[in-house]
Amino acid sequence: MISAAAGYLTGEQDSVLLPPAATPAAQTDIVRGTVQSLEGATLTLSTEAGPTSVILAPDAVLEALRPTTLSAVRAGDWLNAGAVPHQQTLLALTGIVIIPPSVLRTPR
Amino acid sequence: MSRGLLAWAAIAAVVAGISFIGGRALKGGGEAAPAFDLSAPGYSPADTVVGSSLGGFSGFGETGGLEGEAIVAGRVSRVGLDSVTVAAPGGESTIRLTGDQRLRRIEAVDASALTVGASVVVIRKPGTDQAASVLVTAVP
Repeated sequence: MISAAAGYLTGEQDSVLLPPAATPAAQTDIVRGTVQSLEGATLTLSTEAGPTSVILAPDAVLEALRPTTLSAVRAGDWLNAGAVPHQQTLLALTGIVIIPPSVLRTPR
Repeated sequence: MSRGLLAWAAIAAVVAGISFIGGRALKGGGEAAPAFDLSAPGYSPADTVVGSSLGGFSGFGETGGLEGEAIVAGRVSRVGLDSVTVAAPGGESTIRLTGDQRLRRIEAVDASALTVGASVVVIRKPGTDQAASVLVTAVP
């Protein structure tokens, strides 16, 4: 019994194949900032890391997040509702973003 | 030492050896355990398909927009006096607006919207300094 126990305890555990860890989605290179100037196609921003310039690509998509009202929302629009963690209600809805079909990329 | 004692010692050694090998053989392979992606967001409802604009913006934090992350999303099926109902893969959800939430709309604009002082989010083309898309989130 003692030798059997010693054998059990000193035995090497077989390796177990685990599913591969999820690969993070390709990181999107996002810059947040405040417009300092736009000269030609060069957009200069002030960011937390300091001034940054980017070139507006000829095919760059320019969009704006603008206030709207419920009366402007139509059936068929896409809606994203955002929330932040909240101590009492777990999540607190902070905003709603409407994406009309004309500027909706995904889902189609 | 008598021959009998030696024989018993030899038998004991053989039994001990067999037991030791048997014990090692009994060591199991262990339970398969799930792998966790520790970098995953803390909360991500399974049925939420977040919509994005042509520029790739959802309007919320996951794409550099408003504070928070999109937790409810879907196509608007009904608009009430103070509520919006959306159809999503997991069923319909009705959001009642209390006035505390900011209601925004993503619109296509031209370069004239990039005024000095405007807050913007830029998605760069990978590995370049070219802006693939720009979202104006606030104007001065």
